[in-house]
Amino acid sequence: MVEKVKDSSFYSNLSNIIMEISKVNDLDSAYKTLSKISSGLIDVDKEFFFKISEEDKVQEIFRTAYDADIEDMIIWSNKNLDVSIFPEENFSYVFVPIFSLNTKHFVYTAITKEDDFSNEMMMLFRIISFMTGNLFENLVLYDKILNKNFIIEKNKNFLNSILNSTNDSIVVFSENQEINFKNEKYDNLDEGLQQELNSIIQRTLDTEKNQSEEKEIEDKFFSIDSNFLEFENEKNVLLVIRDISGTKELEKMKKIDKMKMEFLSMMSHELRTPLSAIKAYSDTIIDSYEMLDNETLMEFFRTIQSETNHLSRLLNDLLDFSKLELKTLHLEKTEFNINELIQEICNTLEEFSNNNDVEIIFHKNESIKVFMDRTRIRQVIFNLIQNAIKYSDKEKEHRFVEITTEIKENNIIIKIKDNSIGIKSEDKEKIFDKFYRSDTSLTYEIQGTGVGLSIVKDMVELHGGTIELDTELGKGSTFILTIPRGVENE
Amino acid sequence: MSKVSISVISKKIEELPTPDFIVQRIINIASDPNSSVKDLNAAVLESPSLSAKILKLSNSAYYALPRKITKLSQAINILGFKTVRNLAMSIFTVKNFFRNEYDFFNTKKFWTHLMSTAIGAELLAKTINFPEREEAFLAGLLHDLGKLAMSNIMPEIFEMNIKLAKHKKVSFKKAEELLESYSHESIGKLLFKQWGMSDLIINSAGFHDSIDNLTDDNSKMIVQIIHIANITTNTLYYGYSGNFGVEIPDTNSWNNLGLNPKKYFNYVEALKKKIDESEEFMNIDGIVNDMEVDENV
Repeated sequence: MVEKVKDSSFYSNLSNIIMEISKVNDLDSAYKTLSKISSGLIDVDKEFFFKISEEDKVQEIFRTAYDADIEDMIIWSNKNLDVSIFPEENFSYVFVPIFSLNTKHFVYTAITKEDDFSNEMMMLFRIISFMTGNLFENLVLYDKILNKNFIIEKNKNFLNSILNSTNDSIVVFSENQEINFKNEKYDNLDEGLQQELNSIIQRTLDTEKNQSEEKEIEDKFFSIDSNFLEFENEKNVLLVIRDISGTKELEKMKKIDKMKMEFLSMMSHELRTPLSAIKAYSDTIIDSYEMLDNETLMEFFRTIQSETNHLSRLLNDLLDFSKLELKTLHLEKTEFNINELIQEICNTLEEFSNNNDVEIIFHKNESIKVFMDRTRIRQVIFNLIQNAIKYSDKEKEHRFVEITTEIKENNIIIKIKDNSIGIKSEDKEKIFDKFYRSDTSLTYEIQGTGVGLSIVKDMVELHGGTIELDTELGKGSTFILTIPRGVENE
Repeated sequence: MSKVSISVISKKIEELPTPDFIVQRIINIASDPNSSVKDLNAAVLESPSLSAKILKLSNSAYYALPRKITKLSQAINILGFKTVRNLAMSIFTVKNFFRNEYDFFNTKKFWTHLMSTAIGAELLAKTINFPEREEAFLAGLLHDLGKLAMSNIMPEIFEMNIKLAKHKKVSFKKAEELLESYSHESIGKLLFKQWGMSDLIINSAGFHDSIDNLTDDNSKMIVQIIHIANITTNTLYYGYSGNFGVEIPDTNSWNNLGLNPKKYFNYVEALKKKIDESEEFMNIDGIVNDMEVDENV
């Protein structure tokens, strides 16, 4: 069978081998090519790919069964690192160690029935041994690189998913203010805010120092941390933008909590005052009933009644407030004349206004029908007029509160205007907050729980309306209620 | 020192032993791709003593074969065409060049130098993944044979060179330069040209001590291998080759072969081990005696 090789020249054999090897591009095809080249040189009955460990343990790479008796020859071949043929009785083993400078890859072993071997065949096998050795070295290396790339890619994705899962927007700008990196959150960031970043970036680049600021955009608060970042001699700015509206909300909650505490201490005082009065007067009545004349007795009862009313009002306020807090308040709407209701309130408050020397001006117009919860609306208007009287300005000679009503489209507009002490402009937004009192010092000059206006606001809003305040410190205030009438215009 | 003319030298070299018909045939077959195991087997079997000796060497500790070889054809299959050729060449060299003995030069030690360089060159080729390991072995074996040729054709000059090198503690090459004598490299070159050896062998003999003068790029690598192997064995076996200087490896060769201190250290350690296993090869008397048997038949 030697003729097989002899037919063609050494060089054409060699170029075939080179052609085959150059087609290989992965480990799988490398093994196949090796076996293809081999069967081109000799008649291969069976072939093996033996991997030999450092401890001389032999393993067939593709788990092909083999005669364990040949292990000594495989190991020898792996040490000798040269092509060798071990003739047996009826066939021969051809051992071709595949190795490169740094690694012994495996020993290719073929079983052939040929019994005479040409020098050329052995030379070609030796060339194969060298060439495929380097080929396997490269393929293994290539596999390692691919694997490394895969790991790098995986790590990159992992980092990206971390950066994308944070609630912060993260972006890196170059010196030319071009984006070098951004996470997904940055893309979702308000465009208006993106425009606002230029100045802080410039400042960071100019000073080469970290900057931070807060910005308010459309009712949202953002904190912007700008970090100077030098990477491979290039100047960069890393921006971390965080929506801190929630944090602001929390701050507000804390404030409310503080207010609640203040409210509680105030309440206990407020509740105790009428209660002590009632207790003192009733104790006196019981202890000295015989000694009191009718007039004094009546005066005592009136005081008890007035303090009881006050207590009852305080408790109602509290009840309403807690109902609102729990959102359990249900409106019981009925149809009624709003002007008639206001007149009724004015009458109720007449004594209170006279005592405080405040004139109530109400131009009673024609009947305006509305469909609302009368009790609640009464509370609202009552509260506002009572406040106007309560906070009347002692400095002014003529003190008044003026109430007007008008229909505008489907709404009823109720204005309550006074020349009271007014409210500081910075407090204007806060007076509708729960427990807020313009004067938080516990002087109790003016009684009140601070719940009133917050209830007023909630109730107006429950009716789908709004409450506005126009005020100037020292001059007076105007509360404007705009509430849907709930009935068709006549 | 009077210069000996080249024609006289050439004439004298022609009178030196030349590979006989059998060895010549072995060399040719080993280099012919179209030859087969059967061809080589038949050629070696022409000399029963050579066959027997090759078989003996093949089974020696040096090859550490897992199975005992009983037939010459097995040796050719397992060890390869050129290893068998190298064994034949080793035997031929001992038989023909190591008959003389000198009181100023120990030829047994010199054989140790040649065989160690052959083994060292083969091992270095394996270490750096140079494919033609058998050529490296043969080139190593023959590289310094020029010295023995010199001892044959100009014994006085050879003696002077040896004595000068020993006295001044310089290399044989340096002594040649000091005496402006004909060099063992040139004689080796002429000898192997006459034998019809390949350029690799001729240039290894001709330039292993003067590697800068080598112009043939094709044999550069192998000459560099011989250069390093030669210096290594001269260090391991000081004075065995008639060199008494401390030699420093050529930087280009060192770099070109990709050597570094760690790699070289490992190589030297492996070489010592390999030499320990090659007793059968080192034993001149054994080889000569085994071959005598044949001649007496």
